[in-house]
Amino acid sequence: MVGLPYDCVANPHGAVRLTFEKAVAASQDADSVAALCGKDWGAVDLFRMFLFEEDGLSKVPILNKSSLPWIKPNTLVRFRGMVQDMLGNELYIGAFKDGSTWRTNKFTDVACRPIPSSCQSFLWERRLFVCVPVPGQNSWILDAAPQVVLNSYDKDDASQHGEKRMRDASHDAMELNVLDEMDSSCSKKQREDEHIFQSCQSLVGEAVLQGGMLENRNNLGESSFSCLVKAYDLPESHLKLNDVFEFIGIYTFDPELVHMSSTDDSSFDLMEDVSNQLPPNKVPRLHCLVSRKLAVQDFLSGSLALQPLPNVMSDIRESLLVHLSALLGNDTVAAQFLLLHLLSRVRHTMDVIAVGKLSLNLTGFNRESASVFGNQLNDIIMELFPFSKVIPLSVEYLNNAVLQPRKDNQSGRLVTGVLQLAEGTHLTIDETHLQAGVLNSVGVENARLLKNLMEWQTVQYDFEYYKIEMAADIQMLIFSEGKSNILPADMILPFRPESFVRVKKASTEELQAWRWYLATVKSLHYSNGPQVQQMLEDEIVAAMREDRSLGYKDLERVLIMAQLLSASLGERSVSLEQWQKAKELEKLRKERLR
Amino acid sequence: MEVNEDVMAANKRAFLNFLDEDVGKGFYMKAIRDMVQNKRCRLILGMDDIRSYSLDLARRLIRNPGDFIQPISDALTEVTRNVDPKYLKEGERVLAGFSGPFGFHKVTPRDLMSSFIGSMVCVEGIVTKCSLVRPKVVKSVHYCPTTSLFTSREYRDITSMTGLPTGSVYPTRDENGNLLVTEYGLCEYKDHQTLSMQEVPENSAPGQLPRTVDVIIEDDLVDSCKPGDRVSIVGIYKALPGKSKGSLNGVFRTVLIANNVSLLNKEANAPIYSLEDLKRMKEIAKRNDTFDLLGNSVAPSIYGHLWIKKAVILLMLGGVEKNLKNGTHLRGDINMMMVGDPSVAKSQLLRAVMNIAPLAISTTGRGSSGVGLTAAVTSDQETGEKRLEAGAMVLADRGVVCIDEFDKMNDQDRVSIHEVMEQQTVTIAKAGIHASLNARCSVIAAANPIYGTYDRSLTPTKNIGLPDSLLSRFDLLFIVLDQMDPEIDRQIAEHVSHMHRYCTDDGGIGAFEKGARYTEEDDGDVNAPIFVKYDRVLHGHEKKRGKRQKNERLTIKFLKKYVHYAKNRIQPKLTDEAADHIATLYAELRDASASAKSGGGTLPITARTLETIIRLSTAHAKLKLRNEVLKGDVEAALMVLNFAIYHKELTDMEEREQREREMEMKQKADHDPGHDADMDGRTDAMEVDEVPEVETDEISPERIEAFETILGQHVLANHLDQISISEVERLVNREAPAPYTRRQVESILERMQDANRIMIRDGILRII
Repeated sequence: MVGLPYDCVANPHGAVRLTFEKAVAASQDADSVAALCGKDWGAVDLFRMFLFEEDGLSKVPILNKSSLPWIKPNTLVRFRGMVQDMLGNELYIGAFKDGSTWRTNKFTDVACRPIPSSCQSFLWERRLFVCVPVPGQNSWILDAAPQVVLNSYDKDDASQHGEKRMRDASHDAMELNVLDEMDSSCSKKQREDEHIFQSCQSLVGEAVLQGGMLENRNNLGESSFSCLVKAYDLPESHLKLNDVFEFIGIYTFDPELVHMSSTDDSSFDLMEDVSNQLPPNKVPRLHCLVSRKLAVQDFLSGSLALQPLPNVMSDIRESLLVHLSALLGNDTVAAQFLLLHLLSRVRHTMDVIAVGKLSLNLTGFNRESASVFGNQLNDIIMELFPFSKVIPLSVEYLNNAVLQPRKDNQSGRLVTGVLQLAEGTHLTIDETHLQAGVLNSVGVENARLLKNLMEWQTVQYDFEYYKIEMAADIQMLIFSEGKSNILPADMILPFRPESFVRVKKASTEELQAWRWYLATVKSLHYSNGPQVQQMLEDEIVAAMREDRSLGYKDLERVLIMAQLLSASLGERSVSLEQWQKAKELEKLRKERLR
Repeated sequence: MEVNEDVMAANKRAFLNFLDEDVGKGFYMKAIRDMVQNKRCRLILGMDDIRSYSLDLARRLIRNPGDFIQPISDALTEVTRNVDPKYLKEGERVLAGFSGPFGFHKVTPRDLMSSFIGSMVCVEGIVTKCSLVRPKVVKSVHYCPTTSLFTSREYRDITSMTGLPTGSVYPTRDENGNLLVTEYGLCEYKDHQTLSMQEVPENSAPGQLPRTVDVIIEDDLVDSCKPGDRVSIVGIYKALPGKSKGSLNGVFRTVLIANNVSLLNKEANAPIYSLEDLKRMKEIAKRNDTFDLLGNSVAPSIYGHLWIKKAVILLMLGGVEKNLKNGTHLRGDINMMMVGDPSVAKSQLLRAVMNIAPLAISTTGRGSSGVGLTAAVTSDQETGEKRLEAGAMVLADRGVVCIDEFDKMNDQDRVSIHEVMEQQTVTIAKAGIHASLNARCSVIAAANPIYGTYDRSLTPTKNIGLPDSLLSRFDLLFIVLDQMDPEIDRQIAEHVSHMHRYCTDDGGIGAFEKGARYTEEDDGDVNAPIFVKYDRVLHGHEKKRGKRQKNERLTIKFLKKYVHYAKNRIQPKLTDEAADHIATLYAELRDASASAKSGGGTLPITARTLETIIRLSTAHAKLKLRNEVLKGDVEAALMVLNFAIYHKELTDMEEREQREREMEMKQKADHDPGHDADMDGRTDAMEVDEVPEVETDEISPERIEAFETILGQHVLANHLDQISISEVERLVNREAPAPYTRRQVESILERMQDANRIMIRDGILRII
């Protein structure tokens, strides 16, 4: 506390109070306080300045499962997560008159001093969100997040372990199965050093030991770490379900509240507050001061600052293609398609059509090749994308898995499902495990959900009395033996590996470059000039003349491919060359299908 | 409290005056008498009545209901006692509920902001959970054996309108510490129930979860709704301190204390049309190109298929159903089927229907068994109880069922929907359950051709591969094919590339949320623009080309309103002129199909076709918001039907030519009606190889036609399916200018029988 009468990190409430007093000091009448409703009086600006201009961001500790025990209540923290549930609004006494001075309760759970029973006060509103770590987040985004030196303790390795544990949490049981299989395969020796699964596994033991200590305070499962974010003065549309956000705010924990919630009278048994199900000792509260939506770029480590120059782009593209084709057993065509698939995203929805999606179905796998090539691909996808998931599709899985997010009206919570995913998540579906069998009603529903996601990029959420469709943007890759009929992909490509080479693990620099490349290309805005447009139209007409069997969908696909090909080189509009190339690729694909 | 009492008394007086005036018609007196008769104790007051009595009173009532509810209830009690002194027992009172327009106080759970606290609001939503009904003590009476005195104590909580809430402490000893005995029989209780109400899905904003509000209902309102009901609840929005003491954390919970609960039926999710909307609907109906405009507005992302889109519009509007006195039900719903190559946007069209139709349920042929479509008796595995389960078609009663992959359905399932499609009921007679469920729905089905792709060398029927009995139940059957026309190719190219260009311009992460589906739902404004803004990039240079004014499209929101209005408010009647015309056209169609060798049409022309024409014409009249079906409607209907039957892609030019040809044809028909089909370009279907004159030299074709017209009209007017020959003779001779001999009649009828249109047995002819 040198220079400033408060410390933004250690005593954020001080800053809030100070600015509030300053704002009120101008005039003591109620009107000036009333005017503060739904507005910021300078506190947020102060924090913004501290965080972004005075470079305070790096001093703010990250709130996660492992750091929770060490972070002191009422300090500034940040939390990265996905909005999993919205609990609606909460009314609180925003400002009250204590004697002759106005005090505020904003950004806190507990009034700084008791509110007199009858006094002038104002009711303000805040919005409650339940946020969870992004489903399927990969370990590298945690490593990439800047390390924070915590003053309260200097066990750097402890925090690292914690992060590894988080990473562990991100693999669900299914992936662990994959891991087992992989271990049994011959490849074990070579991967030992840097392999993520390996490192993960070796850490499991330690993590459990660590966990034992943690469990005293948080006896919840690994994956159920969540955070109740209380947001102030945000426009409704600012936050959407499944958005990935970074919240910087005040972590509060009040032992008294814990006590209170356990001794409830049951006069309104039904109208139990939803947040009561999220006991403060298990779910930390975060009073959000600053929030921002995170894009993939935000997960890249800052050290890499490349310019999207054409030659840089094409170099990286080349190296990525080489790596991909090596992973695919030198099947260069498949590698090209895979690259296009990796670059795709939903650019727009035109009434019902999601434009820009490009799902890929690699056929011709059998169990062995799926475990070899599939795992290699999964590994690289995990390294490339911040969020990814693998679903080994089997009858049993379809019949038992909870894919659909469902609203539990009794508890008022949204119960998450596998398909509640953040925008831009990569989903790999391994159909090679699928055997003939009988689907029950859950299985049929799950298959339908997957199909709808594939075709329309929407996920239906079950609200018991009705269903709501939520738009999604999920890249879907399917491995199957024959053409998948359950999941009709945009592109079906028989996979033809020439050889199986053990691929050297990509270096960190390479990976970083690729991640940057994918993120940049995906966020590239393209626009076609009128000339290009005319050229494309002519080309499409010519293509249709050439081949009468070309349908609407085929044309769309080629166009998307051409666009992605151009984008992959950093170009903003489609060139004739890329259109030809796309057609060429499509031809190669059709030949294989024959 | 004392100050308050003055206000209360003033409010009561004001309200008594209102009741005295009684809208000038004795309306509320009658309502009170009805209430007494029905043994109810709540009177619903219309806000508009109060508003027209005194704007100020209404305004204050909405802003500060707490000051009014009690006085109003007092006033009502007093008036009721005057009406029927015996009705109310001591201590009973009449409660007040409110209804009517609440202006901006009509909200969804999402809009309930802190600014509404303490005011009266009308909230609409879905009840998601209900608690048990519990008694709540209002007054407890205690007897003290030591002093032989009765003491009573009142309890108030957040729901009471007067006084401050009291504690819930139950006295067990009096002031002197003597034990008290509670006289349960003398205590007063009231019913109490809490509900959770959730925002309706139509109103929820994109990417947001629906909000919930808690509601407390009491007395006669308990059990007035159950989970899953759509309700509109009028009540006072109140904040109550959180369970943990309010002084500590300052967090409040909010509840709605209801005074009126009204259930909304399926219809209630209908759009609300403002006067402005109605005006604009009428304007649109007056335009010459209403049909084109609406057709173009359906699924703009799908290029072309204008006729199918038009048919979709007619299907959503539907005809008029008739229930004859003899119990016959004539369906008014239009069924249609699309058959075509894979990847010709059939499924997308279905999805577009889902988005526009007021009630639409989608299913697939593969995914649903006959049970899933109609209804089934199932037995509970645990209890063994038999249950009736409604399938998609029953659930979509009065709506649309979209069935994708119709061809994948197995035969048994198809049989089970035969009944539903024509009779529109599902009859179940199984396991001791006999039930007939209504399934008055339109079916829109999509199927792939039997050989995967459409084989142009085969007849349509062979390609479709569905039994005729089922096909005839579809009013319209479209063959959706890739179009082979350089001009169309060009347009598709333009469409594809523009769609992509449009989206790519938009870029950014949030782009995909801006889909049309959502933006339209975003604007809660009743007077939203009805035309989609012209976007040069999206809609390309169509205007410049000057071919068609296609840039005009209605927004989905307005289209929904239009469809809903036209479907439900307009019930057109057939005019004589139209009926004549239909009869003539039907005869023409019959002739054409009878003489075409290969059965070139997609659907057999049967009496059902006749019904189809009526339905389509009626739907078209609805589209024009007319209460009469005119000749023009019939023409429009026939164009759709012709397109469906002869699966023609008619470009504009062809269309115009065809119209000219039709004119020509009509002129020619006067001279040589036998050749009319030849004049038409529809070679594949209407080609007439042998002119049937050969067999019937003694009767001129004009006479045959006139005969058939009369017969057709008669059948149409009376909904007959069989008629005796002598009756036919009588009939035609009554109507026709020149009489037909019995021999002539018989020979014409024989001709018709040869053409498989009627069946004659024992002097009775049956219309097939």
